[in-house]
Amino acid sequence: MEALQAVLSNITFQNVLFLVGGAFAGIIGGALPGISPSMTIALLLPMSLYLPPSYAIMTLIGAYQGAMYGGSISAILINTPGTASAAATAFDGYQMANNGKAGKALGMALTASCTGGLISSVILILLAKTLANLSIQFGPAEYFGIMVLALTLIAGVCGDSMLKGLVAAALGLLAATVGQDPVSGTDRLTFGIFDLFDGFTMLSVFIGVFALSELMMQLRAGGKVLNEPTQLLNVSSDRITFREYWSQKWNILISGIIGTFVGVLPGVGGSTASFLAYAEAKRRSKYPEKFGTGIIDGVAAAESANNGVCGGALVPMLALGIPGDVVTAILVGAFIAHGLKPGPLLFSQHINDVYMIYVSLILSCVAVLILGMIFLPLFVRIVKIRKSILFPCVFILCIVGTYSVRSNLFDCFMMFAFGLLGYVLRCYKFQLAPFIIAFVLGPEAELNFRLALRISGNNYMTFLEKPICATLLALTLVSVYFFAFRSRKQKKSA
Amino acid sequence: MRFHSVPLNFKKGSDHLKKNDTTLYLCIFLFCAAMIPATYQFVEGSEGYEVSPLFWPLMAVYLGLVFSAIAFVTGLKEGQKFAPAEIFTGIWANRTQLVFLAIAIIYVLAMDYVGFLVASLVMLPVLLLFFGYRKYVTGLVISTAFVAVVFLLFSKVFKIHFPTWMLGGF
Repeated sequence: MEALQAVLSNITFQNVLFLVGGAFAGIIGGALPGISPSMTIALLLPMSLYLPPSYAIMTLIGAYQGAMYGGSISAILINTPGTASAAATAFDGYQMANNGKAGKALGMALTASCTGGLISSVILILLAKTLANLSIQFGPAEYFGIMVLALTLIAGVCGDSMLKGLVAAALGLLAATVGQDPVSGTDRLTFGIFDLFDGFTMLSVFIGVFALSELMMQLRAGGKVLNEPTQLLNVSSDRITFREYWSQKWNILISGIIGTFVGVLPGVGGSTASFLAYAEAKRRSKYPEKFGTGIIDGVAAAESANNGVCGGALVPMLALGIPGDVVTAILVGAFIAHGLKPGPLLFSQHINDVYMIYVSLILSCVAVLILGMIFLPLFVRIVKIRKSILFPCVFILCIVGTYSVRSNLFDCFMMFAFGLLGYVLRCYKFQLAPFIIAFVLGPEAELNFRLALRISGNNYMTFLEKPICATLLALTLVSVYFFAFRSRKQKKSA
Repeated sequence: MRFHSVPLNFKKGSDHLKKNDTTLYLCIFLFCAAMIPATYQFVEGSEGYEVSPLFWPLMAVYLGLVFSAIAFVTGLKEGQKFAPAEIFTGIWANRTQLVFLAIAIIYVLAMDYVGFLVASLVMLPVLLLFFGYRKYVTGLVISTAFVAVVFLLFSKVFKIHFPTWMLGGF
């Protein structure tokens, strides 16, 4: 309680301003088709490095919530989801806009997003500490087991091929080994290049893999398409009423809970959550046949689940240090850069910062709601920005963001290399999440693996002798078998 | 194993993305194979540690080898074609992206000599044209305004020292 009071006393006008700024940037990033939440956070990360940790946390959490909501704006107005997780919103949202109810659809998306975010924040507060208390008993072997399991789950869940996920994860692990050995401090795979002695900077990897590769993907459309003006539907003046919002209370609540628990699962992500919640809302509805024709229930379910993922994904990240998706992987990088190592020790060593994250999540929902109500016309105009203007500007931000970490142009070349790698992987329909999460988790997994061996006197059986670790490794094998079996079954039926 | 010397599945439009995964798997396999001697050469061994610093990079390399080999064989079993020529046709099909990368590299190299401001003020209008924007005057205005805002934000607020012109000035 004292810590909470300390945090509340630390909430100043300035850090709330940064939270609002982050939410504002997040909404814009989410609303722009082609700019994903992960790309938005990756582009904001360099700026956050120059802020005090509390300001940076608030900015990034605000951006996360904002980006998850922002995707609905373009989904409703131009039938192009700004984020993958807003795809389900487009089913009914765009139809509502076509029926002249764009204002109501946008209003419901906003209120449902914020409510879903609040629901997940409450669940995060309840779950994270309990999970962290459990995991405080974990040693290096157990952590290694958790990381192996998380990587396997992410590789299996992401995309249609587990093998592609595993190949990407192996490449991510390899990229993470460049630099100094975490135990002995000797050089590894630096090829005598001085700039590689600290390894690849996280930002050059994040920005390259997410932002630059996306720009290269967009170039496939050709200059003519990128320069086409966006055709927007008119945003009608009708607004959502409280009665309409209240009529969806159970739908929003259930969808928010679905979103949160889907978010807790590593690798599943917002799009699955919103589609699951949409399907559940349709199943429970008295008029399921109307779903897809432009009813408010569909928008409410998809958006509440979509933002519910935010709090859910933070549960394993904060409690175990395991990022559940790419956005939380980038957040792990940001937290580490600010001296906060996610995991159970965060709760004992930096409890004030944990409370700060909780407060940020709750405040960011409020900020998104207020920003949405005030600046919706502006966000609608931003959706109209031509990609031919937007993407070159994003490219300059990529360069500046990458350069700013170490004031080193070498990092920009590294960013290009990872951009090319990300582009090739995307062309072949590889998911980027296993690569990024392996890159982020790799050093920790190695450190825990080697610490476990050192503690046990180089006894490899220690991983099987410890019951929790053995269970986790057994679960890994079971999940590999399950995903391989499922993949084969899907291919046979296709 | 079916070898094809002609490009396969390369079409314009949406089919442009369809490729034989086996080609990429082979490239990854070869990359990982090449990394084995590189790992031995460029990882300093260390005495007195239970696990050598070599262990983890080698494990990642072997995992990459094994998974890419399995994926390659699975791809062939599923009826995908193996067309090494796809590498070259792939490079040609993605020439726009490669030109973009070349522009990006030139931009960063130029930045080292002429400074961030000059390089960006020249390069951003070029990129606007490259991405299809054809209103030249508006493009110049947007470029100048955007570069100025970014420069001021990062150099004055975040105190980042951008590369400056070798002859002095910005």
